[in-house]
Amino acid sequence: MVVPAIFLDFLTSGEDKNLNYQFANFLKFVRVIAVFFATFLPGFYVAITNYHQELIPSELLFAIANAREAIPFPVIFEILIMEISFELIREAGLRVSSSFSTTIGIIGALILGDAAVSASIVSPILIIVVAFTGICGFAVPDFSLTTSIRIYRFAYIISGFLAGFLGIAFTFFVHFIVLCHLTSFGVPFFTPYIPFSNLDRNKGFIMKPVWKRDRRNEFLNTKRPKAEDKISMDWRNLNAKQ
Amino acid sequence: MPSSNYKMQKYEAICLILIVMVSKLILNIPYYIIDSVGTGAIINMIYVGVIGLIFILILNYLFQRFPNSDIIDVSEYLGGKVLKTIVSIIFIAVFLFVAYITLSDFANMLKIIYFEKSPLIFVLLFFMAGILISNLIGFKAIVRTICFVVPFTIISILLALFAVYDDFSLNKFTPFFGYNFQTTFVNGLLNTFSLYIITYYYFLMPLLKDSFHFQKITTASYAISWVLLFLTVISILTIFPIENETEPINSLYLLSRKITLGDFVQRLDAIFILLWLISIFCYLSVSIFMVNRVFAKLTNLSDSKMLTFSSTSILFGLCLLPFNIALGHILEDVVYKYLIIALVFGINFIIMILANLKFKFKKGNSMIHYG
Amino acid sequence: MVKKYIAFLLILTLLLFMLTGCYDSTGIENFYYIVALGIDKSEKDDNLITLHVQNAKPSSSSESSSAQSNESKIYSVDCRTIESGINILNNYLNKKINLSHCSAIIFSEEIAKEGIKNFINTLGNDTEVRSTCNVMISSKSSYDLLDNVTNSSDSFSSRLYDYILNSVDYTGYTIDSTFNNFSSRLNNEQTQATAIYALVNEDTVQNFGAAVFKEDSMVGTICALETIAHLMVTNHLEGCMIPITNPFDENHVIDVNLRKVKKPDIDVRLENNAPFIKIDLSLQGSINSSGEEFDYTNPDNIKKVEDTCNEYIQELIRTYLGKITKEYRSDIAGFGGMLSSKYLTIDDFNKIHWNEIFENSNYEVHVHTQITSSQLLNKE
Repeated sequence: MVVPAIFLDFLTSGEDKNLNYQFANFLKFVRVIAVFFATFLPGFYVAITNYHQELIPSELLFAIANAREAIPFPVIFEILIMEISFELIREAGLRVSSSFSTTIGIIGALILGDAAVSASIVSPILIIVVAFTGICGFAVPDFSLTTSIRIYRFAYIISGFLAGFLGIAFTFFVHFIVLCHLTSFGVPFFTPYIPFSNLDRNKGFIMKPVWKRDRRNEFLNTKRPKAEDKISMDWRNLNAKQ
Repeated sequence: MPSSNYKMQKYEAICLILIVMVSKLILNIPYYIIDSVGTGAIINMIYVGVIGLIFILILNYLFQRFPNSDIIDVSEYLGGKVLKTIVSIIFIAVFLFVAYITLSDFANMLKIIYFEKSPLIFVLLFFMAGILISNLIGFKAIVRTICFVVPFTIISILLALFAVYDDFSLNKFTPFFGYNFQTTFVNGLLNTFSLYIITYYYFLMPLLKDSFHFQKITTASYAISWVLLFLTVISILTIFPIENETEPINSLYLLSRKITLGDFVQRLDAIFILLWLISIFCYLSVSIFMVNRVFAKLTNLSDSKMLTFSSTSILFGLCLLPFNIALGHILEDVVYKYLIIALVFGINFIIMILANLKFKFKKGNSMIHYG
Repeated sequence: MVKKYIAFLLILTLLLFMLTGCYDSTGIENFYYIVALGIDKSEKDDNLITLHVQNAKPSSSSESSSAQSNESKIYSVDCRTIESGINILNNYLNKKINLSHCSAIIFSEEIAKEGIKNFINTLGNDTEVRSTCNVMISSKSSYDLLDNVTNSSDSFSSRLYDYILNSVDYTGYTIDSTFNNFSSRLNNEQTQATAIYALVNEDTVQNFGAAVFKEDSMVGTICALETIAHLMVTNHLEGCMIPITNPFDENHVIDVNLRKVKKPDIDVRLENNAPFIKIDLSLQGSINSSGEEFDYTNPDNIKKVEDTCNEYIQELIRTYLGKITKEYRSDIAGFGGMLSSKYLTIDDFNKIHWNEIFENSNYEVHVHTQITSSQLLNKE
C-alpha cells in the first residue's frame, strides 16, 4: 500500500517481510540510528564544538583542538563547504554515465578527504563526521525521507551554530510540530504511536513473526480487518504431535 | 462559542499534565521545598501528597455535575458574566505570570552558562518564535509533540536522580521530622504550592475526547507527578545536604553536572539541557494556548489562534523587565507560592463548591454542557 | 493568509540573524585548556596568592605543527583572588583559559592551614569547573607538585592526574576527594572534609594519606595506613594490601589483600553526654605472600592468621580514631550524621552541640576478617 504514508513505512524496506523477523527488526533499529545521525550529527558537532566543549572527553578535545590549530576557517564554514561538496558530488554522480561514476567517487574521496586535509582547509575529524553522515543518509531505505533529511540537516547546522543546543532544540521542536501536524489521507503521520493506538490491532515498529501477522492495520479502515486465521499454520501443530 | 477542535485522549492528557510538572521540577521548586522544611522534606512530601490526593478526589466529585465544562463555564453558571470575567482575568494573569517566571528563570540560567556576551533578547527570541509557530499550527500538533517528548524528559530526570546512588545514605535524611514539628506540618502546608498541575485540572474536561475518563486521568497524572517530585526531592537532599550554607541557582541542573560514566564521559549536563529545553518549549506553548483559550472564551471568539501574537508579545515584554537573582527569588519563593495556594485551593475550590450547592438547591436543572 | 505567515517568519529569521553577531560562538581552538590549577601563598605579599595553571598536550602524536600545545607549561601569577588571576593570565596568553577539563585543584599546605573556603566557593560558583575534579593538598608548594608531575612522564597528558588519583581503588593509601564531595563537606557542620595529601619529594609525587580539615582549615594529616582505616570505617574501601606479622615466625611478614564484605555496623549513642561509638567491621582477605613454609589448608593456621589480622586492624583503627578525636577533634568519619538519625528534629539534635562533645568520644572496635584463599598455591 502506497497510501496512507506513515513514518514507520519510511523505515521499512520491501524485503523486510521476507527476512527472519529477528533480523528484520535489527535492521530497523540500524535504520533508526541512521536517520538520527543523518539528521543531527553535523548540527550536534557544530553546537558542541562552539558552545558545549565540556561534553567532549578531554583527550579527544585536545586532539581536535590540536588538529584545528592550522585551519583558517571556522567550523560552520568548514562544514558547509564539505556538505555542499558532498551534495555536488552526489548530483554529479547522477548526471555522468556509468563508466565515469567510479572516477567521480575517487575524485570525491581525494578532494573531500586527503587533499582538503593536507591543504589545511578542513580538519580530519570533520571528514569523519561528514562521511559518517553521508553513509547514514544512504542507509535510509526511502528516497523521499532522505531528501527531507538532507534539507533539514542544513537547518540544524545553522541553528546549532547560531545558538548551540538552544538552536537545535528550537529547530527540533518546530520540525516535530510540523511533522505531527501532517496527515496522509486522514491518518496522522506518527500512527500508531502518536496518537497512541492499540498495538494489537495496528502494526508497530517491531515486526511480528509470520504466524502473528493475522490482522491488517486498524487505521486503514479495511473491509476485512482479518488477513488470516489466528492459527493459520495448522501443520506446525500436526508435526509437533507426530 | 469558542471551540478547541482537537479532543485529547487519555494518554495525551496525562502527558500534558506531566509536561507542566516537569517544567516546575526544572525550576528550583524542589529546592524551595527542602529550604522550608529541611530534612523533613520526605515526611512533608508524603503529607502534601495525601492532601493533594484528597483534594483531587473531591474535585472529581464536584465536576461530576458539570460534564464537559471548565472553571470558566462553572463561574458563569454561578455568578453570571461578572464572575466569569473576574475568573478569566485572574487565570490569564496567572498563566502569563507562571510562564514569565519559568521563561525568565530558564533564559537567565542559559545566559549565565552559555550566552554570557549575547543579549537576553537573543535567547528569548528563540522561545517566542517556537511558541508562535506551535500555536499558529495548532493545539493538535502541540499535544502530539508533548506525547513524544514526555517519556524522554522523564527518563532524563530519572537518570539524573539515579546518578546520585553513590552518595546515597539514610543519614542525609535524618532527623526525619526536619527542624521541628511545626515547621514540617504547619508551615509545610504551604508546600502544596508544588501542586500547580491542579490548575490545569480545572480546564481539562472540555479538552477531553471522553469526559468520563476525567477521574482516571487526574488520578493517574497526579500520582506520576507526585512520584517524580518525591524522587527529585530525595535526590536533591542527597546531593545538597541541609547543613550547607550555599544555595544552588538551579538544583536539578547542578545535579546533572555530577553525572559521570567512568572516566571519559563527564559533564553530560548539556544533553539534559537539550531535553529540558524541548520540554520548556512544549510547556510554554501549552501556557500560551491556555491564555488564548481563556481569552477567547471570555470574549466569545470562534478562533483563538490569532491571539497568539498578542499573548506572546505580552510574555516577551514581561521577560524584558529588569530581572536579577533577588527578584527571581522573591517571585518564585513568595509570590508564586501564595498565588498558587490562593488560586488552586482557595478561590476556584470555593467557586466549585458554591456552584455545586447552587445546582443542588435549584430545581429543574439539567446538566450543563459547554465546550 | 499563508503569505502573512511566510512574511512574518522571514522577518523573524532576519531579526535573528541581525541580532546574533554570534557573540558566544567560540571555537575549540580559541581556548587554553588547563588540566591543573595550583594555589600557593605569595612570597612577595601576605595578602596575595600565587596562581599556577598547567596545560596539557595530547598523548597521541599529531601531525599538526602547532608549538603551543606540544609541551606542557606552567604559568604563574600573583593575584588577590583566583578569578583575578585567571583574568591576568587571559591577558597574557593568546587564548581564553577554560577550566572545564581541569582534573586537579592543588593547594599548598601553608594556605590550606589558613582556610580555603573562599577559594572553594569561588570555584564552585564557576560554570566551567567540573564537580569530579580532585582537590589535593601538597606538602610543599603546589608549583613543586605540578613541576614534578610534568617532568615525571614523557607523554604527559590530562590522564596522568586521573591515573595518579585512581590509585585509591587498589592501594587504599589515599582517598577519593572530588570537588563536589569536598565542597559540600566544607560547608557541612556534621561531617568535616578530607582531601588527598600529596607528598612532594625531589623528583616524584606520592599520594600519601589524607589531609584532615576542621571547618575550613587544615589541622593535620593521617598517614597511608590510617587512611586505610578511614576508608574501612566510612565504607569506601575498594581494596588494600596490609602487612601483618607472621604468627608462626615473628621475623617474617604476611601480605594480606583485603576487601570489604558488607557495610560496617556502626552504632553511635550518647552516654553521660559523651559519645560512645561501637564499630563492627567484616572483611574478607586473601594471602598474597607468606615467606616461609605455610599450609593454607589447615584451618588452625588460617584461624591464627585471621586473629593476627583482626588485632592489627583493630589497633590501626584505634590509632586513627584516637588521632581524629583527641589530636585533631575533627569528625571526618561522619559519626555526627549517624547520631542524628536517633533524633526526631534538627532542633533537638543541635542542642547536643556535636562539634564540642566529639573530642570526648569513646570507641569499641571489633573486626572480623575471613581469610578465604591464598591466590594460586595452597601449600608452600
